[in-house]
This record gives sequence, structure tokens and C-alpha cells, in this order.
Amino acid sequence: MKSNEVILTISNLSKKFGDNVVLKDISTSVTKGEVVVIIGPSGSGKSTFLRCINYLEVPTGGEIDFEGQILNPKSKEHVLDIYRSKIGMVFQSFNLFPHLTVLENITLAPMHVLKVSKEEARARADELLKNVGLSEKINAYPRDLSGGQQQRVAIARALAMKPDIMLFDEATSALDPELVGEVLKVMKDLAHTGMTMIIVTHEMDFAREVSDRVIFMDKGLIVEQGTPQEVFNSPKEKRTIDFIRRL
Amino acid sequence: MEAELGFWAFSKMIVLPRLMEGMGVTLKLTFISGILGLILGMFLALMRISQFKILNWVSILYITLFRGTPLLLQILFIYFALPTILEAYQINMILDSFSAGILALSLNSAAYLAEIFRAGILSIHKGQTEAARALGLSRHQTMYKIIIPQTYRRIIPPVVNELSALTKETSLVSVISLGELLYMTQRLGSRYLRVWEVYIWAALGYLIIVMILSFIASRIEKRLELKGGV
Repeated sequence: MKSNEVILTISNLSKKFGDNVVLKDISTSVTKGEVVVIIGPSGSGKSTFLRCINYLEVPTGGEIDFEGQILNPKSKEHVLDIYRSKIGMVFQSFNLFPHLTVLENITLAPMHVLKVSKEEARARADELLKNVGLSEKINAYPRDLSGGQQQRVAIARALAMKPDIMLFDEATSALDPELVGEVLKVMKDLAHTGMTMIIVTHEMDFAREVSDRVIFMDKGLIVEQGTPQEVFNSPKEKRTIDFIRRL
Repeated sequence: MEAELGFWAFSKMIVLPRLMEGMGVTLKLTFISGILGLILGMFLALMRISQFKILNWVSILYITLFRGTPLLLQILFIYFALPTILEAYQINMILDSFSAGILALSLNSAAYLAEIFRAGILSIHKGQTEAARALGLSRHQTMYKIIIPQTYRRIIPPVVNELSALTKETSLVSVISLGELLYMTQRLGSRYLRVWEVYIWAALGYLIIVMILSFIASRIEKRLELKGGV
């Protein structure tokens, strides 16, 4: 599914919280259709990196080139709003809107951000819910769904914006073990459609199977990256070797 | 002649007709200042959490001032002192006791309601804002479509508390001779020299208003509970 067309280039991205340096000059690029998995120990900066990509955390320095548009810490808020609308994000804790039904969760942003008509948004929601296997839950509220179902709705909600890239921030970490599979399956299906994805996960089998590239991060740096075979089977850096061995 | 009337006859013929009149004024005071207080309180809460520092400070100053001084003083100040101050600036404003009462009560309750709203907004999990912003919703849309609707059920109990307090505090307006429930009660009591028969009805009057308020609130709470339980 991977092509050679670069859609996201990250240059010297850094993030500090006070004196605490969380990301140190990270540079990488992502091509259209590529599935990138980021692994690494807790506190390595993986989640912060993901959150900086869509500016939920404003980076301290560096630049992002997304489809030719340049974003940096000085970018105006309305520019960032438009940018974020093109990048889907799935959170560890689902973050569905509890006061809205499944349908309303999915149609809210398309209707209010993209100004899509109610009928069109509804039709798209129907289709997305079918894809994630939750058509019958369309009028349910989030509290009536299991964690796995909530996360599938959250994926559908992000996809409703027709994003060019999807970010997954430990999407299965908060789930009971028996519910992890259903969410990973939806993510796998999505990867097969050619969606560009950046995934932070602890599910190594999934990473091996689905990713085009694995990035190993530690202490705010990209320590090593390569195909899943390279990183998992013949890691070069000592820190990567230690991490892989402990799995 | 009235002195010989029994409790029920005295109540029915003399007390209740006057007190109903006073209760009408109390209801109007409560209702109008409640609505105005809710609106102003919402503005103050939004100012308090705004990204513009100057708005924060205006809101903090306002809330500190109105929560830090007695309501009775505020009523007297608005009724007696405000016109004098304005006069010095060539503004002639005649404030009748009803308008002064409404003004004092709404300005005062707004300060308390603002803190309730602010606490409600801050109690919504950060993940809700993040999810909304990640979808491309603006700061404004996130606040009005995602955050504020989720605060409704949480803030109903403290808001009802505040509105009940407001109902009872309307009685303070009697000091500027506004014919609300307590003022009418005091007048009747001293005119007929039959105190307990009069005050007991006044107490009942306030009790009824507060109970109706609580009833409406619990209905709203139940209805919201059906909608997603937040």
C-alpha cells in the first residue's frame, strides 16, 4: 500500500515541559499509505511525539510539513484547527462524548467543521459503523458500550472526517485483554485500505504484522528505525536490543 | 374587630390576601434576578477561564467584591449610594426599590453562580477537550458543543442551592421598603399586633417557592439522566 509520495515531514521537533526535555530534535517523514509503529519504554516520549504531530501539544521547536503546508509553534490557531481536522486521532481512553449518541459522536465534527449536510454525515456514519461492526449501536450512548465497542466508535468518529493520516495513541492499552482483538482487527482492516497510520502501541505481534516501519524511541530520541524484521529480528543499537529482549 | 377573629378567619380575611401580594413580588424578584444572575454568571465564568488575562482579572475582581461584602450592604449601596455617585457624574438615574432590588440580587447571585459554572467546566475530563480539538473543532465549538452540555447535570444541585438561597435573600430587600413577602409580613404583624399568625404564613410562602424549585430541578435532572447519564 505504501507509495513514495511523502505527506508528512517532521523536522527537528522538540518539546520541553519546563526544564524537562521530552523530545529532542526528532526528524522523520511518512509516505502516503505507510503504517508506522512507534515502540519504546514508558516515558520515552512516544505519546508526546504523537500529540505534537497534531499539535494537541504545541512543540517547543521544529517544523512540520503536511502536504506542503508548514506548521510551527507560531502557527495561528485557525490554521491548526484546519490541520487537525485532516488528522484523525484515537486515544487510549476513547474519549467519546458521553452526552451524545454514537451517531451524534460521529456526525458532530463533519457537520460543524466540514459543514457537511446532516443526511450526508448520517450516511457516512452508517457506512463507518458497518465497517467497525456496530450498526446496531447507532442510537446507543457511550456508557452502554463496552470498552472495545467505544474504541471502535472512536475510530469511526475519527474516520468520519476523512483524515489523510490516523494517529493511534495506545489505542488498546486501556482495554480488557479479551477486547483488544476486536480493536486491532479494525486497525488492521484500516491499514489494508491504504490509510496512512502512525501507531504507538505495546502490541508487538500487531506491530510486526501490520507495520511497514518500526520506530524505536527512548529518552526523547529515535534510537533506531527500520522494517519490522530489521528492528525486531536484528536490532543494531544496544538500547533496542535490551528493549526487544525484555519483551 | 379583627382582634377577635380566630386564626383561620384572620388568616383568610386579612393575612393571605396581603401576603399573596408580597409573594408575587418575591416571586418576581427571584425569577428575574435568578435569570439575570444565571446569564451574568455564565459570562463571568467564561471570562474567568478565558485565555485573555484582562478578562480573568475583571472576573476575579468582580467575584471577590460581591462575595466578600454583605448582600445587605450591596442592596443599601445600590439604592442609596449609587444614585448619589452617578449624580456627581451628571447622570440622573432614579432607581425605584424594585429595580434596585433586582440589580443587587442579580449582581450578587451572578458572583456565586459564576464559581459554580467554572467548577463545572473544570470538572470535565481533559480528554473531552482533546478529542474535540483533535477532530478540528475550534476552542469555541469545543466549549459550547462538548464541554458546557456535559456540565448541566453536575451543576444542577449547586445551582438549585444558590437559587434557593436567592429566594430567601430576596427578603433582605425589605430594608428598602419593597413590598415583598417579608416586608408585607412585618407590616401586618405590627399593624394587627398578631405576630405568629402572620409569620407562620410567610415562612410557608418561602418554603413553597423553594420546594417548587427543587421539584423542577429534580425533573430536569431525571430528564438529563435519560440522555446519556452525564
